[in-house]
Amino acid sequence: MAEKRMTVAQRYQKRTPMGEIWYRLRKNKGAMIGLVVVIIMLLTALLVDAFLDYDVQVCGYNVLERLQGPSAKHPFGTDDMGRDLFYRVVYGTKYSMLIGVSAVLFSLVFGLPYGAICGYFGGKVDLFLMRLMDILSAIPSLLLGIVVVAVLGPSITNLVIAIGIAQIPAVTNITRASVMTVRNSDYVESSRCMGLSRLSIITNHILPNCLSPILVRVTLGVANAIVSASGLSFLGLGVPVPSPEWGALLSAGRGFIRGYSYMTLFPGLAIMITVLALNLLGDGLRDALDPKLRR
Amino acid sequence: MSDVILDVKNLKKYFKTSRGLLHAVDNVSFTLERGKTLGVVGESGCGKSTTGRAILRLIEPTSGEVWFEGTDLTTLSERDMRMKRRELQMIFQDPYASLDPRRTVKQAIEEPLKYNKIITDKYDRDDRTVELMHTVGLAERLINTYPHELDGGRLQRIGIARALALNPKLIVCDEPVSALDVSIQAQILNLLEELQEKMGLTYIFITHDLAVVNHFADEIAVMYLGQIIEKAEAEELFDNPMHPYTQALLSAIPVTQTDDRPQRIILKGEISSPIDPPDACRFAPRCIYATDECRASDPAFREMSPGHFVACHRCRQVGKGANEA
Amino acid sequence: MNQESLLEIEHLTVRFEVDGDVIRAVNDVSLSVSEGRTLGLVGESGAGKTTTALAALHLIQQPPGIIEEQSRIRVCGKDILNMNQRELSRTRGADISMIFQDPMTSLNPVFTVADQIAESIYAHVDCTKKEAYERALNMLEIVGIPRDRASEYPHQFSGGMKQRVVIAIALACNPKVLIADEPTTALDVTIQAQVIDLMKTLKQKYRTGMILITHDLGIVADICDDVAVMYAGRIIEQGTLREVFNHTLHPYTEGLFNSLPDIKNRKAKLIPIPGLMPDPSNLPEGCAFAPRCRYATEECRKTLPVLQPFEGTHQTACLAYSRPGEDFVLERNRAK
Repeated sequence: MAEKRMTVAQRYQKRTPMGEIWYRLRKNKGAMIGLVVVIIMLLTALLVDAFLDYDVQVCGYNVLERLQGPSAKHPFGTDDMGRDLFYRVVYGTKYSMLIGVSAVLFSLVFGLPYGAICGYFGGKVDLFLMRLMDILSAIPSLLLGIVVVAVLGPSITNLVIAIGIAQIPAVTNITRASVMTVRNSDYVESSRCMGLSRLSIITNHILPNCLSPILVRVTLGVANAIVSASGLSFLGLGVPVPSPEWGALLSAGRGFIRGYSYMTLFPGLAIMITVLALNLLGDGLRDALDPKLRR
Repeated sequence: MSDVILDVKNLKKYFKTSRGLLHAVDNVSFTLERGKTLGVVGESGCGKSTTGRAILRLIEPTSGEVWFEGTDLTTLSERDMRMKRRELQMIFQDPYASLDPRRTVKQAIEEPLKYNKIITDKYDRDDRTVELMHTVGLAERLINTYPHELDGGRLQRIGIARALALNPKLIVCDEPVSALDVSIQAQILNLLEELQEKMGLTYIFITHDLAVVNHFADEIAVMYLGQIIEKAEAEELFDNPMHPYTQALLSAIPVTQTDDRPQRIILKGEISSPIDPPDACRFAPRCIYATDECRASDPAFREMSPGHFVACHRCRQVGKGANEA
Repeated sequence: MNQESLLEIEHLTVRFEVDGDVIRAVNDVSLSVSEGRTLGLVGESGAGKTTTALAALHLIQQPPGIIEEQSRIRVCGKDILNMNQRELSRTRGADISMIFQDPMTSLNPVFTVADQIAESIYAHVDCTKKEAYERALNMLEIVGIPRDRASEYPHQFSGGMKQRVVIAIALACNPKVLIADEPTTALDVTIQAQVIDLMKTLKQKYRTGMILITHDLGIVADICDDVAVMYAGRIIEQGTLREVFNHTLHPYTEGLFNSLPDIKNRKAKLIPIPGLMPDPSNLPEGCAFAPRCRYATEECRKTLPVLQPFEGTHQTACLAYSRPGEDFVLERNRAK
């Protein structure tokens, strides 16, 4: 028999769950625009070193061409050292994406298990652990960032840690809340009734049903982290000097804002577009991942 | 020669609350024969659902024994209880909430088979899933649909298929039809009846709907504030209710007759608080027959006629009163 | 039924347009309620009962809802569909009022119950705040809540008590028409009996015209004078209580009765209606009940039956009665 035996389920297969989510996401215009922008940003971040020579095109001085407005040669103009701002903004994508994604990953590594433990066990464990989290969230995130960078010294790694720590309470809260809702649902009780082990229940029901709010939070978290990173860089606490991080570019253009406003305009736009795209994507994902919203 | 499958003795479940001890289930005892249906009736908050869950140890009972085929379930370790749960299943009230929204019909039904490693071969499991779908009257083509695509009646069929997957002996049905429309209700009740006949299932049927329980159960236990206050064969209970609360409940059943409608007994007030109840008949504050004795001591659960148990100090007088009326 | 109608609904047709789908919720529904009479609107979830009720108060969200042009709704002779916002708020509460299914969500948790009733009175009746409050206390007494509980908040009340408060609010301004949407479904049996008893008393006392929406035929038999059975957005049978219950005409109504367990005959087999109600966004061409009907013929699947008079006030929408040369009798009536 050459014909492969099919299960009844395969015979009636319509769309895979992933396909279904993709189908719903595709119908959402805003989310698709966001997705395209985010993908472009990520690709830029990954490939930028192959196209741009960091030392020459991004950081090389050219005093002859300093402070030129946007033109065909320099679409975003040049800064006070004659560096091409287009290249610098494009190269800055790498820092923003790197910092945004790493900071969120950092916060997930700590926040996810922490929140899951609080949500699953509840009771006194939850009470104690969440009070610790409250202490952390009581410290203003900017202050926290300044302290971390001041203690550890300014570098990309330390910036990631500073922003990551500040995001932990948010990740913990959302994980805890969604684990709690799912844990108390009838379908978890029903699976307990079927004799499923705790581990199976966690992997089959609790995690998949918690994933979507967390995924949405992650997307929005990246946007948040990018803004925070730019903020800290703007204050001179972020990426060390010649690196064209967007916040640092804003900071550098600050002194020239009267005569040469384009120096702050373009990095600012870059931050705005990225954050907007991530937010659009996050909202779209939330809708697409909710099986109850059919259309 | 009665074949007792379940023997519940002095089951108690108390919850600690900030205002005191909430007596959700207070000293509930009953036995149930194989292949029979026990209807547990009562209003919301009377502890009927908690009783069902405590028997399955989905909620840990505070004290008491639950003998299931010679094993006391309350003494089992968590691991052994998990194995035992295969023989005791539950059908839930809300079919929308009791299925994982992210799992298809197939995944939901095969879950117990897969994770208890009962059928490990994918194809065999598929066959069994389809077989179960046929048993509960679900069309094969629905196998990959998600719960949100289906109506309540079909979802409840999935719930039943899940419960049947492990070939259980006893099923606790917690208000299995109260979330469904009338015409669908009858479909599900008929299905449950057929399954009982075919598979020799024993049911504990928890409901607030007396018309349904009368149709469905062999024996009926009426609960009020955590206690069973009357228990008898269904026919006996309906023909000859002895407890004033049962009488009121029965008279409140809406009937579709347009003429000669039975007179309703309208109870005063509402169910009292289950937190730290006094040592008195719990129904006394609403009872028209209540005397000082009723307010001073909790009546014992006595056998008034063969198989007919009542917890009422005054049921002899009450019974007479009702017959005269 | 010769009295003047307090509420008249004619050819009410409501559709909802959601994402390109057209959901035909209510199709050509006509009914009327006169003083002191109670109409039971019966049907399963999704039959269009609640939409009909909301339309009577002009409470349908537009969009997505669209009330089609031929629809006419008159409350005490006034056309409610063409009222402006001010006229509407004067009419609602004073002429027509509604009780919703869930008493928990229709009360405001931050006001005391007496304040909530007084607010409704103050808004509609020309009186001082003090008089309104005094009337609110009277209202509470009428629905059986002692005066000393008037200054408590909704969360301090049980479900049955809350529903009484909701009824008190609805009746506070002596409305001529009251629409009760499943007023007892969320309540326990003994409490349900109390509430029904209360509604019966009020109906006799104030001669309020009432529409009682329910899926429970027992409650209908208890307090209704007239019955309309809805299926897939249409009224398929209508008449007095005795006509509909004792001389059922439509196969769907028969199916509803057969689905109910009979307390007199406990071992009688239930006869469920097979299948499901059709999706209101995809109604079949002919009779909507035909796919589930055991009497259906080819013709039923093609032609849409309209509501036709049978005997007296009894009407039904079923083709079986207009087939030439055949005297159609439902199985339920054959035994008699």
